[in-house]
This record gives sequence, structure tokens and C-alpha cells, in this order.
Amino acid sequence: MSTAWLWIILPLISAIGLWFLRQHQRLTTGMSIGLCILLALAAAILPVGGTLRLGGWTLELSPVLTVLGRQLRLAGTDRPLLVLFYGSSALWFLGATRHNVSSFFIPHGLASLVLMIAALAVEPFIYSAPLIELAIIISIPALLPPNQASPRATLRFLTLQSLALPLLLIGGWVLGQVEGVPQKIETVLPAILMVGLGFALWLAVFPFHTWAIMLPQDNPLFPTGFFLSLVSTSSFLIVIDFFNSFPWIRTVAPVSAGLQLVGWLMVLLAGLWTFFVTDLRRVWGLGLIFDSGFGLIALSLGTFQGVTLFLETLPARILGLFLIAHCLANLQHSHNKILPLPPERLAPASWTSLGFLMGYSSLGGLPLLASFPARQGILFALAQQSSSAMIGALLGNLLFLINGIRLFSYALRPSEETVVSPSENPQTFDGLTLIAIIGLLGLGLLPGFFLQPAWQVARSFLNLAR
Amino acid sequence: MNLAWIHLILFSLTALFALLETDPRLRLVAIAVQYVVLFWVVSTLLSLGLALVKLIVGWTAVALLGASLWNVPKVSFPAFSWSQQVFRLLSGGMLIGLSFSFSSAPIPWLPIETLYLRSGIILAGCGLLLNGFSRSPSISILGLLEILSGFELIYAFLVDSVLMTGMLALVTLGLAGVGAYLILFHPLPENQI
Repeated sequence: MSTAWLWIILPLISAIGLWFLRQHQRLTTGMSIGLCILLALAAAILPVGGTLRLGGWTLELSPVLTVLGRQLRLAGTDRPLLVLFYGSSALWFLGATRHNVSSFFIPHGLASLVLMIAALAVEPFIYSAPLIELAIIISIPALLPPNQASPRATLRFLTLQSLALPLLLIGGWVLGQVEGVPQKIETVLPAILMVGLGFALWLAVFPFHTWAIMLPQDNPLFPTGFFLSLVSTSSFLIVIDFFNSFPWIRTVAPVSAGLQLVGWLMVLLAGLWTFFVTDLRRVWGLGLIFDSGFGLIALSLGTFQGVTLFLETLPARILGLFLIAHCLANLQHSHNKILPLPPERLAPASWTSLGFLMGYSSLGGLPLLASFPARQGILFALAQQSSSAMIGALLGNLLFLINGIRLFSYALRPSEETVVSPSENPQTFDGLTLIAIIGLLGLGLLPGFFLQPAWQVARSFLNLAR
Repeated sequence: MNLAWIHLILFSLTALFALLETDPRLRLVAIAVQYVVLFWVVSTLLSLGLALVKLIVGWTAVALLGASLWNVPKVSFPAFSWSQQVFRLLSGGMLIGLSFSFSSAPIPWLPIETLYLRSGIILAGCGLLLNGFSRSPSISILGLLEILSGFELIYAFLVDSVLMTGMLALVTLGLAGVGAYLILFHPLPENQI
């Protein structure tokens, strides 16, 4: 049996089955959580490429499945990523039980997740683009439940993501024709620009960032958080795979410098913009842009350490984004209406506001929290390459953290809230928030625990460091 | 006249018609005609089966959008003012002009006949204009489908993969499905065009 059957085809068939059962939301949520935990455990335990003996049964897990001449490859080095994707999805689906999400969320969420994993597994990488596009298309009904919200942000998201598809396919095809290192870089520069533009659209790079800020504001926050963190993380991994497939691109002078420039500009602008935010839902989008900026900086380093640091920060990124989305969705109270969420809603101080601030501070790289060790490593490595870029990134990081203090001051103010239904009281103890907070502290205090899996995944991108 | 010129003229006329027409149903007809021309071109490059896939998928997408438009309450489609018409015509015209500004010499890194490259750019560009000019889900999705048609025209010269054709067909159908969903459940006033 191939690994793709277990981690791609089986969950895809399950998602189709769950779609027909979607009206029984408790059942579908329970089944999807169980499946995700099972697949995460399987990824952690099963020997990919080896033989598994179960009593009289022997099962060989081959890493490759060939479909119409193309390969879906999930090797042993991908196991930590599978654990991360399925484990974090179990957490998001568990969170869905606390929020009144659309019945489409579970089946469409699972299908999107599987397509993203297929996009990471497919070879050659060019086939990732239509798979990501399909995952985005599938996410739309869950992002925008019937008769809720305005489709404005969703259409913007869909349009910008769809524009990436032709650019990546044509640019990717041209680069695929180049054998070895091209003698004249000018001949492939248009293709590099096309692929770069496609990735910029995927990763919400300025000026294509608007959807990342608009979607959490216009659409139900929790599902939006799930899909955007999924799209962004998968896109990043495909970018790494792309650079790994075409290592000579890094020798083109403007590429590494451009990545670095775009990265620290994203950090700086996101840090600055958080000061002017009057709706907390926009903070989620800015947090995503801020973290993506650091991801680009890590990739621009062009070292094995850069890739490892980026991969090490992934659990912190996903957990931080989850905690912010979960707490904000708790604060929002009304599930059927899209209400504004001014910073004043953080008062009175509660588990929910504490969770939000912890998630925010973790994304900001506050010491002892999850993102800190990798963030520190990225800044140190950046300082060795470019002082000006390091100063820009550090300034953006400081602005982001100082805004956290501003938000903290809101939580300490007397509450102006008058109507809160008992079941939705944000002061009610929330086990999921506590688990996520402990997770963020654990990741921050025991960074070495996640270094080994990150290093294992980074080994499959060795070309990047050459 | 060279056949490529006939294709280019047909693509340009249908793209401009979709840009200038206010009734989304007539726009759908224009896009359906585009898919016929696309089939005509692609059938000379790829196998007839793959070209037929593109035609059938395109028409299915148009039918999906058409059926959903049929099922929403009837709204009137106010005609564009003359200044709007002129603006749209100028935008489309500039785009066609832009496509002709490229050198007619073959591009070394993109082995496509220049006239077809121009046709693809015109389709994708007019699709982008159509998408950008409207907040209506039906028209935005039509714009995306037109962009995808332009891209598929160019891509047919480069790749003849069955898997890729299938995936692009799924993307086209998916976009049309999302369009139908948005039209039925999130109707924006169609006069916001």
C-alpha cells in the first residue's frame, strides 16, 4: 500500500462521506477529529518505506503512488509535516465544537486539508498550483455560509488566488525546460518574475495582502482562521519545494535580496498597521502577514539553518493563529451576525482575553513563548547578512509587541459590556484556550523538542542550502 | 486570411461584447462562443478528446452559471451610460493595443505562435477587466473563467498532459460551482455593475 492511500485518498473519501452527513454536525465533527488524530498518530508511528507486521498481516508502506505518470510522494522526511497538519486540524475541528460554524466547515475543511497535502506531495511541483486552487475553491462555501456576510472579501480572495494559477503554471513550465544552470539569466527572468508574482499572490505579500485582512473581518472568523492558516502554511512549503527544485534561481542576484526586502517590509508594515487597527479581527490578518514576513526572511537566508528555523516556527505559527481566532470568535458572541470587535471588547480581563494576548505575543516573538527561539535565530542570522534588513525587521517586531502592550491595557480597563448571555460569557473557563496557552508556553520553553522533527523535514530541502 | 487572425478576431469580439453588455445572460452566451473558438484552436494542437473536454467543461460551467441566474429573482439590468460604454470600450481597446505592442518575433522562452499569444492576452486581460469592473459574483466569476480561457489557450501550446487538462477542468467547474453558490445564496444587486 502506498502512503498516499493512507494520508490523501482515505481522508478525501472520508470528506466526501462526511459531506453527505453534514447535517449531523456532532457526528461529523467527532468523526473528523478521530480521523485526524488517527492519521497524525499513524504518521508519528508507522515506518514509511518499511514493512509493518500486524499479527499474520504484513503491510508495506511504499512512499510513492503514480497517477497518470505523475507521482504523489510522501516519504519518511514528510512525517513531521503530516503530524503537524493532521494534529493541528484535529485542534481546529475540536475548536469548531465551541463555535457555531457552518455545516460545510468539517467536510470542506477536511477536503481542503487533503488537497493541500496532495499539493505538497505531488511531483513535479507545477501540479501543486491547480491542487491549491481546488482547495481554495472547496473552502468557499465554508468561508461564506449561505445568506451570511457579504461576498466582497471572498471574491477578492478567490480572484487573487486564482490569478496565481496561470502565472505559476506558465512560469513553472518555462523554468522546467531549463536544464542545469541557464547561461543567460535574462532569458528566464520573465518566468522567474511570473512565478514570484504567483507566490506573492498566494502569500499575501504587499500589495496583494488585502484579502488576508478583509476575510477575517467580513467572514465568520473561526473557519476563516483555519483556511487562511492552512493556505498560507502550505503555500510556504511549496515555495520551499520550488526553491529546492530550482536551486540555481537563488544565484540570480535580485531573488534573495528581493525575498529579504519583501520579508522585512511585511514585518515592518504589519507591525506599524497594528497601531491603527480598530477591529481585533484585522489583527488576525496582520498577524498572518507579520509571521509570513519572518518566514520569507528565513527563506532568504539561503542556509540550512534558515530552512530549519522556518520549519521550527510552523507549530508556533499554527497554534498562535488558532488561539487568536478561537478567542476572538469567543469574544464575538453573536454567531449569526458579523459584529465589529473593537479592542474595548478585551475588557474585562478573562481567559479569552488572556488567550488572545498570549497568541498575539507569541506571534510577536515575546521571550518564553513559542515563536521566540526561532524568531531570535532568524534575527541573529539576518544580522550577519544585512544590518539594514535586520534593523527593519527588528523595528517591525518591536512595533508589533508594543501594540500588544496597548491591547493589554484595554483588557485591564473596566468593561462597558452590558449584554452577555451566560452560555457565551467570555469569563467562562475554556479548556481549549488553556491547552493552547500551555502549548505555546511548552513550545517556548522546550524548543529543542521540535528541533529534531524540523531538522528531519529540512533534510528533504538540502538543495536550498547549497 | 490566416486562420489565427480569424481566431483572434473572434476572441476579441466576444471578449469586448462580454465587457460592454449589461445582461449577464448575454455575457454567458459570449463566453460560450469563446469556448467554441477555444475548442477550435485546441483541437489543432491537442487530441480531439482533450479539446472536447475543454468545450464540454466550459459549456457546463456556463450552463451552471446560467441556471443559477435563472433561479434568482428577476432583476432589471440598467444600460450603461455612454461614458461607461466609452470607458469600457477604451479599456478593452487599450488592452488589444497592448497585446499588439509585443514584438511579432517569436519569444525564445515561450514557443507560441504570436497571434495566439495575443489572443490569450486579450482574453485574460478582458477577463481581468470584467472581474475588476464589477462587484457582482456572477460577473466576477465570468471574468475569472475568461482569464482561465486565455491561459488555457496559451498553455495548450506548451503542455498536452491529460492529468493537467483534467485538473484545469476541475478548476473551471469548481469556479462555476462557486459562482452558482454565490449567485443563489449571496445575491448582490445585479445593478451594481
